[in-house]
Amino acid sequence: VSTKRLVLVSLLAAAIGGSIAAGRGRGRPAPTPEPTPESAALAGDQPGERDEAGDRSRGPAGLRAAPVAGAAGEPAIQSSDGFETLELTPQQKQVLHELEALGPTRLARAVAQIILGGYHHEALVAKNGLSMDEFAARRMAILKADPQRTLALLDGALHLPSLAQPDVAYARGTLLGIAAQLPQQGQRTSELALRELTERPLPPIPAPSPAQLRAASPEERAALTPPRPEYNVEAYAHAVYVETSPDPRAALGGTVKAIVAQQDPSLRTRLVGQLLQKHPQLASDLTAALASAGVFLPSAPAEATPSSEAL
Amino acid sequence: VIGMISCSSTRTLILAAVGGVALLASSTAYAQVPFHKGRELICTSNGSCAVKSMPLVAQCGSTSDPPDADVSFYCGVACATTSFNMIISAAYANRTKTQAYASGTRSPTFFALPTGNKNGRNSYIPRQATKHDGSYYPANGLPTPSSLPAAYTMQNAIYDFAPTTSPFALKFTTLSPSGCGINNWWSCAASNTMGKYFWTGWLLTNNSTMDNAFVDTKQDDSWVTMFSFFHQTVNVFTSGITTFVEYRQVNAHKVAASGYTYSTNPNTGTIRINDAGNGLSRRATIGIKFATVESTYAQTPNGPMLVHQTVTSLPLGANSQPYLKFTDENEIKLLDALDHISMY
Repeated sequence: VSTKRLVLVSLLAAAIGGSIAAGRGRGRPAPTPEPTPESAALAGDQPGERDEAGDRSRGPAGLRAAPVAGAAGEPAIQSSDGFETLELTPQQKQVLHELEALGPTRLARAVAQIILGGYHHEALVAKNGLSMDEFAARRMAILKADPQRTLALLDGALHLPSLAQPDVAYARGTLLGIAAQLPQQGQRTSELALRELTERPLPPIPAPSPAQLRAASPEERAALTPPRPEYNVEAYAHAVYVETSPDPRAALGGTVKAIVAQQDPSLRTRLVGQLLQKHPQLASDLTAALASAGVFLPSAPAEATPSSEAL
Repeated sequence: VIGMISCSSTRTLILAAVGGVALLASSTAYAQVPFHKGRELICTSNGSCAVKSMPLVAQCGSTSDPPDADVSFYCGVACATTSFNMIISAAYANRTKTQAYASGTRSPTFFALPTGNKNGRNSYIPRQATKHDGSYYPANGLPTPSSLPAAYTMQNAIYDFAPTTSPFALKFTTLSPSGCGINNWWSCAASNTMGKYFWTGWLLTNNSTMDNAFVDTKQDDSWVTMFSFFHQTVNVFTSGITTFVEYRQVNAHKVAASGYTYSTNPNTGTIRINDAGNGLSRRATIGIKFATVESTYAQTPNGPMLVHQTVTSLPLGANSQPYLKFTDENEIKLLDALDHISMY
């Protein structure tokens, strides 16, 4: 039902917008692009400017998206596809606050809504009827229009203390995903991804503890087994790196650096697989380069522990 | 009469059975003629096969048939023991009856096994109990393999029927590979001059050939099988830019294969399962899941642009793993190992 309602509203908005645009178009110079609802929702500043009015209007945590006058004639914020109604955790609020401090506000809000929206995707879909792809695409349109400053923002975001914690690892990974979509920023994106891989080495995943092995139920074992999203994000950073590397040889060199830096055997094996999936012709070169670096990987990942088999 | 048949002869057999139905059509329009396949299977002409004489046992028993007192403490983790009971009971019951023990044409080390009773469960339990509490290992001068109570597995079974217990000097059972020992949990086979009769720990991690047809063929070839696999929980994060899918291992389980439903494409059929966890007969399918990065691109003036990536992470460092999915559940469970047994 909500989807149908959204379609009707969208059609109505399009019809109204179209008639306005048509009216403007008669006998006049080509109009500037009409601001979309989402661009209005994210409005805080014009490119190159900070939105001080927007900053002042927010509450202490920077979450209240009450209608705010946009800069330089942009319309007031009316909606952010339901994002402003989400109940963010204190840590997520801190991420939002630190991102907005980086600015530009309009870009920072778009980034924040993408990376934090993922933690509330079910609520967002329920609220706005949009798929997450649609939700993100609206914000990416704004970010793609200003790729250089967006990339600078993403670079800064990867240094934020609030985004260094494992429990927001997927938000951190999504920053790289945003970078990978920016036009003509492949080289810089690959540098960010490689920095992520080489400057954030993860230790080997420890073997299950005796308490985990003795768990009497799946629920108890799950409670004793911490999620490790940061390992998945490192694999993703490598995927972004391979996709955005200028050529296969560069991808090979960076992959070797990443494997040397990372200590977890399963992650190392995964990076090998990802590179060879994209560039299978590099198999022998990769083996030689790793051997030169003193890294010898097993042909197959580690086997399951005997204890898990016993159950 | 049918005896050992190869996989390639299976279709011929089915056609013959269908022909049999046609001959009977005049008297019984919809009659199906059950037929035997190998030693273990009884099949119908529509390709549905079941392992003969396999008990269906719940690892914690039932109100009317509770577990014995000395093992009841372990019922929560006794899926391996119970599944083993089911398949060894079926394998024992389906031995080639015409082969004489004394002539040396039957696996000699199984001679002393009693027939199953009490739903096939009671006969083996006293032996298992000593291993459940770990006493087997120190009693035999062996280090315990882990801090867990040692479950009774196919690996233990191989040592139960060790070659030194054979009364036939020339029929000693050998282990393969030669280095497999009681503390090497995986990949150990036992065989004698009648062929392999135990094969445990068929490692399937990163094995991309495991599918329904693989298991069907094993059963066609007179192996009774059981599976080890892991329960998974799935954690999904999606932002519209990326979708992270993370499988977390939360527990392990074992079930016995009790037949299959054949299809024109074997992998569209189902494996029939005797599930010791809930004591139900269920159907499941087997497939392959990969730890992958799947990318979606859009064509732009600057060339293809990455617009979405889905990153799937599997536990245990695996890049691919077969999975077992019960048809009545949404949860995906990754298959890990296949144990099988055959008796002559």
